[in-house]
Amino acid sequence: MILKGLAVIGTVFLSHFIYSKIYWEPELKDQGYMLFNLREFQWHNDVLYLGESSNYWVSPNDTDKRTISDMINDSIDGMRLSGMQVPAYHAGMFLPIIDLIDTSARVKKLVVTMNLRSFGKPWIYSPQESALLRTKCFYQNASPLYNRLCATLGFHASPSADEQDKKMLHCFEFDTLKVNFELPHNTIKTWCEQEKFPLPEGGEDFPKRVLADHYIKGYAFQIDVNNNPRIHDFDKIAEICKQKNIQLYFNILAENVEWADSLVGPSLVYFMKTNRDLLVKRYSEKGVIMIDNLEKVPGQYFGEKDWTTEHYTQEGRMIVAQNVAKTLMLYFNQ
Amino acid sequence: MLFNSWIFFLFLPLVFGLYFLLPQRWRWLLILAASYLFYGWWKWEFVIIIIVSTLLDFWVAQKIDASQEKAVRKRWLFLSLSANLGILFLFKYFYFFVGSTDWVQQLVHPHQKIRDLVDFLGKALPVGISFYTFQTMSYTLDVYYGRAKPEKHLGHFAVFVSYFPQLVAGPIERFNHLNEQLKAKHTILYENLQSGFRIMLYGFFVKMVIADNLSYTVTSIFNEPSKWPFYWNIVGVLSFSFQIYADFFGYSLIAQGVAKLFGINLMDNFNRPYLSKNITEFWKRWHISLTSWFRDYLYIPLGGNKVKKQRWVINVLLVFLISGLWHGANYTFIIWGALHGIFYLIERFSPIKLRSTLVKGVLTFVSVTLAWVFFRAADFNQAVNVFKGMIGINDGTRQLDTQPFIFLLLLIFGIMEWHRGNLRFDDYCKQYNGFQRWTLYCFMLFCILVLCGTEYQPFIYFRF
Repeated sequence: MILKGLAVIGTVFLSHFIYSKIYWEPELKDQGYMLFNLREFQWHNDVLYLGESSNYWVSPNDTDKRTISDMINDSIDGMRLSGMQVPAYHAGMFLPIIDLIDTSARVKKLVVTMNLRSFGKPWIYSPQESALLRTKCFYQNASPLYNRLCATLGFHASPSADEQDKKMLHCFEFDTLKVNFELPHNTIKTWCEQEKFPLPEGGEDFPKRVLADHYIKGYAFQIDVNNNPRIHDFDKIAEICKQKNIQLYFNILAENVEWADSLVGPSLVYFMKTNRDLLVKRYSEKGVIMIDNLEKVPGQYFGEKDWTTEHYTQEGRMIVAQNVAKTLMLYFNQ
Repeated sequence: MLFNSWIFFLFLPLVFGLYFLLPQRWRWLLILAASYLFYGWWKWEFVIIIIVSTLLDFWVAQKIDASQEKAVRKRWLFLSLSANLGILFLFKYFYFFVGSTDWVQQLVHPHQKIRDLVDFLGKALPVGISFYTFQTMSYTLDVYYGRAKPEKHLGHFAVFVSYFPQLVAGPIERFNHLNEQLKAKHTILYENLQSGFRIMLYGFFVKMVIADNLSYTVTSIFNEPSKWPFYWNIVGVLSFSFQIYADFFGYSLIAQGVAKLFGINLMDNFNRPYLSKNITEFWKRWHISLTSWFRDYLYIPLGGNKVKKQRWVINVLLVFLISGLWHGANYTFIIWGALHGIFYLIERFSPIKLRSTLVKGVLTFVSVTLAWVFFRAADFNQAVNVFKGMIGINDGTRQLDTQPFIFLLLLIFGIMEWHRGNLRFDDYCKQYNGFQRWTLYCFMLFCILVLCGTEYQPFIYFRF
């Protein structure tokens, strides 16, 4: 019996050894890309830039293909910065990565992308959440083999796309917007229903209508600081960075405010700005340096005009990068 | 709850420990509660369907047994079958055959509540509904034909219907085989534990290492067959053939292993089907519990082989078509069933009789594998695209980055299956000495820990 027990324990240890030495690295590159980068980047950089697709997206017409983080790196003398990005990542995904930064590592400044839309229901209840949660298993502060087994055995919540959709639609229908001015449409659903884009020759400008719906769904919300999961995650990030003595910057990404205004009107812009103000106030009070890019990029510098994204042309990326670089330089010696 | 989920690894020891701590008279209650928890972990609402089905068949069986009049017995049987098939139709086939049709969509469109209900029926398929519905129906039919005496204890009957190891994907057990075992007093026996763990280990190896690793290849090819060269399409189709076997065989093994820990013997569901020499033999070796169900409750009542040839042909085709439809509400499953029916008839009536066992085996495997294309494809067009891909039409150029070790593992699995012969895995292990056995266990454990697929993959047959 003892021998059998030893055989099992020995197999587990051998498995752990072989997995860590041979399989973990390639699997991390495939499944947990941000951690794969972090393991090296944290030792060779002063600043890390954590982002999503906004960092690397380039327009087909761009001659300058640099990412935002590369542009920042080229503009900050005396500091070295590297970007780590994975599409659709949000604060909940950045959090475990930041938690894994070694306190003795070279990196002492961290710029974390704060995407306004990530606070909204379409992103919170995204069908991709299940896949992201699985990836998160690889970011646990545990042995590589254990993390892998967690992913394989579904140790994470895996809400189906249908369930996510249902929750989102429920919020669109029943979450009311409370404002001081007259708002005839107090839910996303009624607001979207009310938007009309009549054409002079009759009928409706359907593409415009669809885009307006996207804007309303993406930005017409009020951040509930008690229940919004992103707030919880950003709070934790601020806390961890304080503990690790890392200077933290939240980079509020530019949104196409111009289009929001022209498509839907000032009431939608009100929500965008109110949410931004709330975030700036909340996290400034927590000692985070806030970089506000919300209104910095003109509409023409948004690469995709038929969708609500934070994908900028080279000019747009440069504006965001310079704003971040300027702020970083401002706090260079701190 | 899935066997390959972390929660099951907490659930099983807990239920096992409590089961043997409790006095015999309360054990059924524990197993029933555990079974409902196991099922309800996914969506508790659907436990209600099992309870309705249980109550109905319990009651109907008593009524059938109490009556001597054939007409009355028949009426009760009709009630049970129509209710069970009605539930099955409502949750599995209604949306496909009725709800999604244009006229129904137009009819319900102005009525929000009805539209929501129709949409719900389109999306909400209670897992394993075909399995437990067939199991309860077999009970009522057995009572009707006088092959079984009805269970007088509602709780024991409820356990028979919902017994968690085989609730969601079989084997579809017969009342006479399972019920008495469930009611018997069991004690912890070393032989049962040894056998149960052995079978479970092999089941997890087959599911998590073989089936899950093939999933990537299969999904990549079937999603976009035109993007790959012909040889990758062929590899994809072959991979699915092994994936579905490993997935379902793995599930059945784990179910058998778990039941064995409690002293229960579940029937074998597979007997190395890909080594069959003809389609008839294949169906005697593949999903045995379903095949025998169709044989006993459909094929034989239709007249079996004691009818005229034309009628027999129709009966055979009907059984295969219904078997296809049993798997899912999609034309692809019906085509898959029809293909098997046609293969079966060709084999029977073909004037050419092959002598070589090898040629017959290869031909059977190729036929079965080609039919799987319809089983796996989301729709008819996708299946056609896979066939086109296999013969090089729309020849793509993309190369698949499948890890070669997967095919090595598949080869090892194939050798193990071939080598164990007709022995069950636990009996196969008994042939070897302790060192050899434990080397094999450690190898399988190592593969499960290190080489299993990283994606959390539900069992394919859960959908049915």
